[in-house]
Amino acid sequence: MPSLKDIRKRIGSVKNTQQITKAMKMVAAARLRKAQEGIETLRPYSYRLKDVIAELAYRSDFSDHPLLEQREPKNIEILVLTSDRGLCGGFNANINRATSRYIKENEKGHENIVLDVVGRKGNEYFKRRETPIKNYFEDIVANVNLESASTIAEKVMGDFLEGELDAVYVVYNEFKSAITQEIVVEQLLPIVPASYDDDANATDFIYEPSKEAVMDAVLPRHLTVQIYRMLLESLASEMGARMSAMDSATSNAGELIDRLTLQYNRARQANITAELMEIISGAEAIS
Amino acid sequence: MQLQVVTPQGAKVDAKIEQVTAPGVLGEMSILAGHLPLMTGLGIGLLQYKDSAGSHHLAVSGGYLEVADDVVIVVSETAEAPEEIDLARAEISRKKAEKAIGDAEDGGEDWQIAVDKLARAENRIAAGKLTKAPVPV
Repeated sequence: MPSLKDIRKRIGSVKNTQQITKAMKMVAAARLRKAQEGIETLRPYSYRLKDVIAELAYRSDFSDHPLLEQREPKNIEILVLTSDRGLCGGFNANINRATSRYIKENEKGHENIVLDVVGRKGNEYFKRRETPIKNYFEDIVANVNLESASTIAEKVMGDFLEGELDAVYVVYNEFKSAITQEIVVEQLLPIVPASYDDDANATDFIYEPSKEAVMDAVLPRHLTVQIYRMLLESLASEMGARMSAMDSATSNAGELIDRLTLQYNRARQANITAELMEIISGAEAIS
Repeated sequence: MQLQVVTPQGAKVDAKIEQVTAPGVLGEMSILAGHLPLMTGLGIGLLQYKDSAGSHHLAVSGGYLEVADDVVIVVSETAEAPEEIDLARAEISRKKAEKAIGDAEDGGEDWQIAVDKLARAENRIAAGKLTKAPVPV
């Protein structure tokens, strides 16, 4: 039976923990909102780029543009987006497991599979596994912006254009809502243009200086923006996962405090009763 | 004629305009209503457009411009109005870029990046010094 003092101490420490989890939940909620805003503001831009690529690809045979070139996927790369920090429920475990599963399911079709990892948690997990990590991008999750996205884009684009890689896929958490995330696998390279619905006013464009030059200007941007969007989605998902994890941790701490308080009160009552018994029996012995 | 300017920071302009002048990769070009469908890459420079209130400026860098059905769509990495530009900060990045050009090997990759940075900084400074309010025509 723990003493009164022990119980009091435990209640105190659980309360402290509860305060921390509550604060973490609040911080996650604020950062989630920021990430969501980022996704919203990026949307018109990324849609325009997607449209124009669809349009360009439709109007001309652009399968010969190096970034659209379909090769036999011998060497593929999988880019995994995880988080730097833990305490976000099953976020990292889920994405790591999904990636491993994806590799296992697809390893037959390819000669060589390598990984690119964003986030410390993914690096820790995969560096002890079979599939080699080609690049580990550090300090991306802490500052998700166009610049950090373009460092990744340039790296994968370079490897793809040099023929080192035949296809690049991304495994990341798509943000559905604050409580639901969905792990998706998307092909990043070669770029697959969206289907273009041929409207009746299919006009012939003047291209300045040439179609190729416009393609050259647009495609790498598209890639960067795609990666940026995925990073934002992953960040929003991480914050959502952390928010719900911390919310349940806070309510668990509340339950624990209630139980301990009950235990404390019982112990206190028992003490009082014992003391009373002693006094009464002492008084009786005198009379 | 309609002008839409979209950047990663969101849609910047969506307005009825009379004329737009943009820094195309082959040099500056002006577009009036009824222009043929056109698609071109954009360089670093000033985008100017006129609407009923007067003339406006935006500092743009990269991206492309599309004209179709009397709608001009500009998709650029940045598009800043003179009042949005922090001149002091632009000046700092200009100095940094100048220093980087001096440090880098001529014609190398770092050098090219620094040259682009310098062009962007100078463009922003030029735009930032322009009259803030639209000029009546």
